[in-house]
Amino acid sequence: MQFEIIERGQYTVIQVNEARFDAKLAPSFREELENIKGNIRDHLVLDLSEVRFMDSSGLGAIMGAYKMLRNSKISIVNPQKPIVDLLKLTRMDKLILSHPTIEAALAATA
Amino acid sequence: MSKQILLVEDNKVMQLLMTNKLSSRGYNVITALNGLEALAQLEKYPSIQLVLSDWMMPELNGIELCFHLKSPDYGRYIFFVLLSGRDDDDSIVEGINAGADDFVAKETNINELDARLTAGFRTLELHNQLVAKNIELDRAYATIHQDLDSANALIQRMLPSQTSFPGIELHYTHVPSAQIGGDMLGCMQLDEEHIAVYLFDVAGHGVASALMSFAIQQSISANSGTHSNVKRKKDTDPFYMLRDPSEVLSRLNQSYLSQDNNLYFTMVYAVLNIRNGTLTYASAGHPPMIWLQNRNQTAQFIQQDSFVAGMFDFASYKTEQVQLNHGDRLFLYSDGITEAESATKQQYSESALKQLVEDLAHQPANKQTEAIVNTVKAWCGIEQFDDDISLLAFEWKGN
Repeated sequence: MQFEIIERGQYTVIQVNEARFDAKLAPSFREELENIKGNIRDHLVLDLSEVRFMDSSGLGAIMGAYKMLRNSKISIVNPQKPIVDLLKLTRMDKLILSHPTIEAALAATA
Repeated sequence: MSKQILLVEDNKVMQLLMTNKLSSRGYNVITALNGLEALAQLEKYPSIQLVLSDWMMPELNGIELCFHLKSPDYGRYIFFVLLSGRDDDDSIVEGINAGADDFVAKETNINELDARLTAGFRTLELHNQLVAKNIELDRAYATIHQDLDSANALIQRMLPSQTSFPGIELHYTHVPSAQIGGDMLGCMQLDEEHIAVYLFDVAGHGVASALMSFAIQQSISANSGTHSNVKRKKDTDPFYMLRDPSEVLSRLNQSYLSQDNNLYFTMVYAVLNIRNGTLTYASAGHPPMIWLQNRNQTAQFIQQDSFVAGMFDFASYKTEQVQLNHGDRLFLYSDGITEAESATKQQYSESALKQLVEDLAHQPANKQTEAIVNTVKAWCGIEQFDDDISLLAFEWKGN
């Protein structure tokens, strides 16, 4: 499974189970998001623990999620160093906050 | 499709009998007396695709003929029906092994024979449609390939041809990926004192990225008048002002805001004052520039965290400035080079590129970009990069 989706009413978690979030993965991420966007209520949590590399297409998919879900909160969980660097370079770290765990991301909502 | 059949039968009476039966059902029957004759007839009638052949014949028997016609070297798809009095299991196995498609006993009545032949023609029809589709696909693929090649050639022509200006010398290496991509770079003299240098990378590959890259290049380089993306009108002499790098990026960001989230670009736009060596620049989510200082031959990053362009209407950019010294070099590049991968899936990385710039600092400026790209290529152990590679270096010669 490329993605695991956990829907818990108020929040939805998408766990990306691939080491590379790149041009190959980005289209299915968009598709997945398109399928579940109607169910996303307050908070979308992207668990990127497994991702070791993200290219411009992966970044594009995350920026796309941000634009699509203007009215929901988005958080990233456990990004690895290369992803942290990329989010910082493109200032996406200012739009989507990162947290070490899903619990921390949810606690930050309250 | 005409219902053409090659009937191969050594018994002339039987041949005549079957020809009459088949003709009465509308088949166009061509005949041969043995396998060798059959081959000659097939050569003479290139449209025949169904062969109805006796088993036992002199010269070349039915099995041998079948084997020959079904070999991959035979350039025509043939539906082969073996005709025989023998319908014991061993013979059938032998026939199947030779590639026969169907078996009909000689005494079979014309209704069944007709039905079997009709089935054979159905198979042929399907096969022929598939072949035609494949030819169509091959043609379409060749056309796309040709179009991409032409587009690539056009993109190459958008690259700067003038690379030497007073006080500054510029070098670049631009290698498009096999698929067309969205990297582009350029330089232009804004006025007697200022040279603009820039590099951008439209995300993704393919025609959409390339077209956007083409359009952006036009938006920047169309600066003939006093009003453009890089200059602004003024009421007093000299009647124009250079736009700040951040303003240039803001304008491009607004022009290329896309609804389609796939298309955005990262960019560095820098303006060098060739009199005093001041470099003002702004970045839109682009990897850091590398500044190689002549004085101590060390390199450092010039990084600016900023939003990518063409994505967010609220994005704003920031102009910053560094003071160059004589002989300092600046390197602009796209992530194609830093994300290039070795056989073991390691990425080259920005820090390795910075180190390489230092290591190759002794090289003359005109050799350095190519040497860098060749070194990275050798490190990857590949002939062609997966992504666009673009690397631009310029050296301030001083006044």
